[in-house]
Amino acid sequence: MSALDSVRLVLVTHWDDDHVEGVAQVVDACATATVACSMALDRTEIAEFVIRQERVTGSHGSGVDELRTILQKCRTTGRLLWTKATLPLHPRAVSSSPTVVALSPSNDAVARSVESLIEQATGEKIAFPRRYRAPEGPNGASVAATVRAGSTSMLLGADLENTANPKTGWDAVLAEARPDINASVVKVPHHASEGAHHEGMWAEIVDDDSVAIITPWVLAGGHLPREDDLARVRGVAGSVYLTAMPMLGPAKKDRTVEKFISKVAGIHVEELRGWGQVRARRRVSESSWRIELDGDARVIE
Amino acid sequence: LQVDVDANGDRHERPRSAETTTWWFGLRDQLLVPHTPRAPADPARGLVDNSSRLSTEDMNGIEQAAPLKPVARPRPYFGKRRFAPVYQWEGVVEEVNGEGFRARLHPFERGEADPTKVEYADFEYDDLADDSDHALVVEGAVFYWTVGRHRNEAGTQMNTSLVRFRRLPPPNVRQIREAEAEAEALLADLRADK
Repeated sequence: MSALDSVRLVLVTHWDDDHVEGVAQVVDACATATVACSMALDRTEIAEFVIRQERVTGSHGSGVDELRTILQKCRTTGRLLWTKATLPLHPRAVSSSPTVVALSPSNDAVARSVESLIEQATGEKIAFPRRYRAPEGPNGASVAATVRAGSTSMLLGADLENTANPKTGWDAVLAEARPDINASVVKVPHHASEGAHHEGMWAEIVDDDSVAIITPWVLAGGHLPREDDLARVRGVAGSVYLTAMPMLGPAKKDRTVEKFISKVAGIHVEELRGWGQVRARRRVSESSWRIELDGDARVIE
Repeated sequence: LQVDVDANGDRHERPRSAETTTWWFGLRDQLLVPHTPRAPADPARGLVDNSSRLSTEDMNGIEQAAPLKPVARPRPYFGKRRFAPVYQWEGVVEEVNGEGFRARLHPFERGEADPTKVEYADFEYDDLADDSDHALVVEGAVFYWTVGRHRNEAGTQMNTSLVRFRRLPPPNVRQIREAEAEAEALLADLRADK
């Protein structure tokens, strides 16, 4: 029995490249784990879209392949669990420990997410009836969750953000799915962006001395978190860790290729550097977390 | 213009008349260009002896004559024109701005894009190989970037960078119906209790 066989749950929070790339391999490797996906993806339009992409366009390279692979892998095994706010993810039978419960997406977010999911995840312009549109996009349909073992609990914030609609986002979590926890570890929502910071979340369901773990994001020259994001989280958490310090540097190539790229094309090719991992461990009987850093992960002083 | 003067010395202009002037082109079958003696054969100048004695004076003779084949001067051979790629990427547009776009790139390894290798680059619209690709530059669009050596028919080698966007036909009705049926079956399987 491999260590991966002890993995009980793979939580696919939402359909965005920085959250699904490689997840099909994880699902494959963790052969006995339940795979939880946002119920917003349980739509004929989504399934039809990914199937059509495979048949007509082949590889798409933007998370469509990952989603299609997951759906096909889970087709005959019964491993897939469509989830939304308040549904238990683990165990699927009640009353054993630890428990994992979804906090989102809300019913409203599920009902209106189809069009924006496809458009924002793939760039493909489509035209579904307006009732499907959710301006918050894939993030609004992402699965935030709590993990609880005894009196210890964690909050996994996914990419859930605040929205103008009180029936979606963190407002909906606190109004419709508020967990009775005091989380001592938080995966900070949406790379610690300002738009995902909800004072109620930090005050009502997170411990004052919590361990906050931030996963950074880089895309198209933009990045999260920014300096003020780190300062904001530093003000509400006991300690703050960053899984990596990503940066872009020149891509290393064969000398001939580099000459072509720079002199002929006049284009600078860069690669993303900086990968790491923050691991938080704690026995139920222990009173504090042991934090282990790997790669470029670091503590924010 | 002709003017007559009467006995009183007054001037009278004659009305213009087509009959007052006569143009002569000669007879219809008269040759406009007189027949000239044949030029002597001179192979060095590409002139051959017209042994058939064909002439435009004898149209029937031309129709019956065997067609003449053009002769091309031999040219030096530099080999076929070709493009030898040095490196290739599959790209996905991540952000479009006024002057170009930023893209995520996957280098080609052994004939296909390697999804585990991710690179980034900024392109300008001037980098596109074809102006018609401009309309295809939208977020999520897939393109191919190739740098390599191009040799034209004259044997001249040029280092080249080619950015071409993927063009795909829209799905037809049959493909859409098949995808709909497959989607329904897939979701039914996924929703079933097992």
